[in-house]
Amino acid sequence: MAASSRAQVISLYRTMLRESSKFSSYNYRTYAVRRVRDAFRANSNIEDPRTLERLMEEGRNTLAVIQRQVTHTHTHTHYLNFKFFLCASLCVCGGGGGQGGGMCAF
Amino acid sequence: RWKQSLVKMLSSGRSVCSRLLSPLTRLSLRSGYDGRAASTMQKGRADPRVLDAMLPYQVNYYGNPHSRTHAYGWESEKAMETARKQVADLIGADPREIIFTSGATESNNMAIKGVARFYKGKKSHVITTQTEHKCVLDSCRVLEAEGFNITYLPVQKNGVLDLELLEASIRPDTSLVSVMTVNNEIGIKQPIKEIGQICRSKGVFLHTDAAQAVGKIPISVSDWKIDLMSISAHKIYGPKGVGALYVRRRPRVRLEPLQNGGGQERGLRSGTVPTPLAVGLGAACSIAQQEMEYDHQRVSMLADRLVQKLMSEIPEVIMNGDPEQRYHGCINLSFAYVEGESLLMALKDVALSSGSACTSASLEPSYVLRAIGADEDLAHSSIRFGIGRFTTEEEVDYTAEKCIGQVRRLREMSPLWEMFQEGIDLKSIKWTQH
Ligand SMILES: Cc1ncc(COP(=O)(O)O)c(C=O)c1O
Repeated sequence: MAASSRAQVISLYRTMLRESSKFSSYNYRTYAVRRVRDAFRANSNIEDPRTLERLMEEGRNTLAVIQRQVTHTHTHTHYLNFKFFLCASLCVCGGGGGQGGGMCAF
Repeated sequence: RWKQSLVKMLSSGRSVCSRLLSPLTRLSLRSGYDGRAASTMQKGRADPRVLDAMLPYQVNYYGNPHSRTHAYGWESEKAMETARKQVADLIGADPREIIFTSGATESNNMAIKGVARFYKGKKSHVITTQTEHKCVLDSCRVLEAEGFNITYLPVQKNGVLDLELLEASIRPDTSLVSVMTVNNEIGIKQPIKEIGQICRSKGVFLHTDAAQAVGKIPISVSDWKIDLMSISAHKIYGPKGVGALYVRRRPRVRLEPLQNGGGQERGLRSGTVPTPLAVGLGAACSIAQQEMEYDHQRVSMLADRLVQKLMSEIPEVIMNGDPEQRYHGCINLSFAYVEGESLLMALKDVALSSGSACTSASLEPSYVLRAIGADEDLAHSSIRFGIGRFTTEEEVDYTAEKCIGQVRRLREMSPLWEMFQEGIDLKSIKWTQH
């Protein structure tokens, strides 16, 4: 990989990690940080310039999503009347179903 | 002096509190965020990427997707068709085979009642299983009241349907077989591909409720010979209130619509499709397709971790449903000699949302656990753990730790546990009623 593109990759990586860590929701934040790290790790051996450019483009798009959502999940929650911003990520339910069973998201 | 003791009380109270607080809370507090919000884990989390896809349609485009003359309408129709393709791609279907609905409940109602009623002149028999979701079972009850014959097949002890039993139950007048792909209570996977083969060879339509399976395990409607399939967006980190029904075109499946009116969705589901929700479903499907492998590895790893921790620390824990043939994100465990509800209460107190929809535990042991032949007592001691895309290791460890502590505490108070440890066979005791 050329030195210039390596620097670009590292810079994008750092920015994505920094922006991901701004999610106020614990579960979004940890997921975003982990997902970014794992994606860059998984692609660390890519040398082909065209593949690299495609991945960089994808990364920049994802960065934009993260930046928009960090803001939105923070400020516009009630305004947009979305009820599903905070995550329940590990759900524990009475296994004895009945009503409870049917309604659980898992 | 009273002041002193008050201060003492308060400070000791604080130390008790901080011991009760989850590491999540403490972790969040350290990171400078309102710990209470972080520890109040609400249900129904959508993926931020899904929200991002929906936002423009929520805010900017007010078009009715079905009014073709309106410019905005055209925009949202395009978005809806993109979403339809994203749903189709995830399951290997043609976009024309995807009907948007309000969720898996509607899709199940539509498929079961719709097919049975359309073919009722020639066929009047429907087959399903005893472990289906309530909306499938209740749709079948309605059909029974209309004069249809329904066979509710039992499942084996591991929760899996016996294929020979299914084959033997198909009659010349059977129009439809409905078997869910992944069970929402015990996580077991039914052999849908094999079931599809049997149904196709007998000329019977196959419907599957795949609300818990789509986007989590690879599904191909053509490989598996599925004729109708129900999908729900909020099970795959999409918005609530939207889903889809896959309806095969070749060989064609006909169904009587539940809703009549403007003829949207090929006349099968009249009513304006809510564009932001359809877009959300599409985005959720597309993300699920892209993340399936990653999510699968992660969820399996966390599930193993949880089960390992619990089973190595507590004796007499039983996993409900087949240990292998399952989706790992849904784990159902019975803790013998512990009342499930007491355990749930003890756990909920510290770790879990009081606002979650799944808090309404029923006093009746679940019909699903009963159907897999779980002991009445064990059915009462069962707890379900859901692990998903956003679950963290800390949450798993914390839940395991709390669960272990609470099970031990509850067992210490249980005379049955004491008797069991003394080697008394509880089954041999004759309980008398006064
Ligand atoms: C297997 C299964 N079928 C159907 C449903 C109902 O889905 P919806 O809430 O989209 O109507 C659920 C979950 O709630 C489910 O787990």
